[in-house]
Amino acid sequence: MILIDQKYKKKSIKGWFKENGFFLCLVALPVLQFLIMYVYVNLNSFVMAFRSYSVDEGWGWAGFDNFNEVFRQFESANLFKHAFNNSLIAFAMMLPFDLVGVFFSYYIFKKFAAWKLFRNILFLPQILSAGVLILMFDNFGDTFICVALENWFGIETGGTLAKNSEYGFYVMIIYNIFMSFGTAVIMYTNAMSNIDESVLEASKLDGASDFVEFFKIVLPQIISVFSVFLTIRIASIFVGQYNMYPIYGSTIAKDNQYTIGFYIFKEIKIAQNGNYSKFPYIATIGFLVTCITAPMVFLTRYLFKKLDPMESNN
Amino acid sequence: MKNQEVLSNNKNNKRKKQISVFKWILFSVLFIYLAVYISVIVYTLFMSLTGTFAYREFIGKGEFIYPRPSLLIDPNGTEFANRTGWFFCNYTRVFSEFKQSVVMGDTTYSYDVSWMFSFSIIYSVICAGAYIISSTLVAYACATFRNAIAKVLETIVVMVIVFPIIGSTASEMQVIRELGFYNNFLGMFVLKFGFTNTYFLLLLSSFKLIPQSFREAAKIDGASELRIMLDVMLPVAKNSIGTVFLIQFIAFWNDYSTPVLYLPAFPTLSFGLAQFSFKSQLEGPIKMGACLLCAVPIMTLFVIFNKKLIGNVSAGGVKF
Repeated sequence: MILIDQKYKKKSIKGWFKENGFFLCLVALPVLQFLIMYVYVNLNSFVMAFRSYSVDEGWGWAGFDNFNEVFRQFESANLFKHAFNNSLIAFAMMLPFDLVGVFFSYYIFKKFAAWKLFRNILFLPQILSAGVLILMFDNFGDTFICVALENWFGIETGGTLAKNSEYGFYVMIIYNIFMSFGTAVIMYTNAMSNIDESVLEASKLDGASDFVEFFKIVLPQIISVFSVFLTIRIASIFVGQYNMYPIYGSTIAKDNQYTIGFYIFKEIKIAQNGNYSKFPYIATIGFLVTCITAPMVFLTRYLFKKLDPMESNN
Repeated sequence: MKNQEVLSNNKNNKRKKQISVFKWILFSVLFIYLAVYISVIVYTLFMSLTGTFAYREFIGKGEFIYPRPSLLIDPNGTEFANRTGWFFCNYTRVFSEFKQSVVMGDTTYSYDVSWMFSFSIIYSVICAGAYIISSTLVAYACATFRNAIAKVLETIVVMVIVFPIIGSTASEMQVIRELGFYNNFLGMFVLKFGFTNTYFLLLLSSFKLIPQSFREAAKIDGASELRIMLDVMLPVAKNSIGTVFLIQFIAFWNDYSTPVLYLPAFPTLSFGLAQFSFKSQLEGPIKMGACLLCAVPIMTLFVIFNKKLIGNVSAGGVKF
């Protein structure tokens, strides 16, 4: 009996492989890439936070030295403190526009006046290179706004907004809001187009106005998309570089113009010659900010699952 | 009876007013936003275009000017008088002067626009290709063979998208260098051959929508799994695959950060522009000419595939 069972088991495993051999062939290479470029890279990043590197001695163990250094830098050095605060400021500045985007999406969804023009113009910056747009903005848009502010409102700008040491960072965030706004609007519009037309028609027959339709039917139906958008936004609080590199490069930015994302990018760019001495420090920063971001992401998802009527019904 | 009619008329009027007020508030805010937006963007684009044509010869080597904003606001500016007309020579100068130098060991290579353009095409095709091949293979496998591993893979994708791991670029750089993938296109293929992205979910749902009866019918006819995939299933989903490839091609064409970090020996156009924007001594019109050269292929794609591109941005918003 046991022999028959074992034979059956062997056969079934063999059968499984025969049945799923093609499946394994298809996923083998992508899974291998995932294991190296995601699992190993992130594990290595975690381990790196406890290591040190010097050009002469190579890699060694550092215990919690990197963590102490990050906390010391946070207390004493302006750059890191600014980078941390700026990442949060950028998030806080961009978030309201994600909300406002829902209203504009409804405008386009309902095909009100000139909706096609608005949609195409909002989408345009998404397809052009950030490098191109930044260069154009730096050469013309920036100057245009400066001259307008000086001539029309008498505000002294010093000839540049984006490179201004005092408020250059804020100008760059406003620029990024302008540029990324379209993505949110178009995503919401497409989500709205998935709403069952019979629901909208029924609400119209019941005499619901656009205002009521928006708040009572459309908004609850797209809350899952908004939750995804917000989750991604929170997950990237400390990742965003906000197109600072084409404006400031890796050397000319002032301390108060950095975000964590831009700071990490700059340090990696500088280490291109193979000198890893700053890598453990960067890995530690990454580990710490991940510890801050991850609970925020999970909490947001949990709250939205509670709020989402579609989820609650399930 | 009459009173009832009057009441219902009043209600209707109120409702109409409510509708028009909401509509007008939305329209006004959107209009103001777009007015500012258009004035900056369109002005910038217009100036970039016109700026590349403006040229005056009479000062020594040749000095470039473009209609400065101050002159638009104050049309009495004297510099307008110095303009001598429209020229195309700036575009030829883009080819001769917009160059990116790369130091490899003891040798310095200088790449002009045509080289950067070629690198852009190679980089975008390789990366978008890697992205679409990997995502399509895994999505197809998960949608067709609904086994336990497929479910695990689907969960992994969602977890990776949602769970934010920050600061692993340092580790990624180290791994890429140690595997010998730094500064070569094979490395870029490996780097972008991932399937843990939102478009995987879009492709997965596309494959799940294809009836399994197609596959079963082909199997009864004696077709192998490979033939079924290549000749039956992929052609049905070619629209979704093509659109994702197009979106990724545009994204990689515009991407400057990956080439700046991992591919410095092969500067793409976006890479070159990002570098030139803060350090180049080139005159404005040359920079603008390069900008337009970089933007033209993408604008052309946008004009041709406008509907597909805009419609599929929602993929980022797939519910998971």
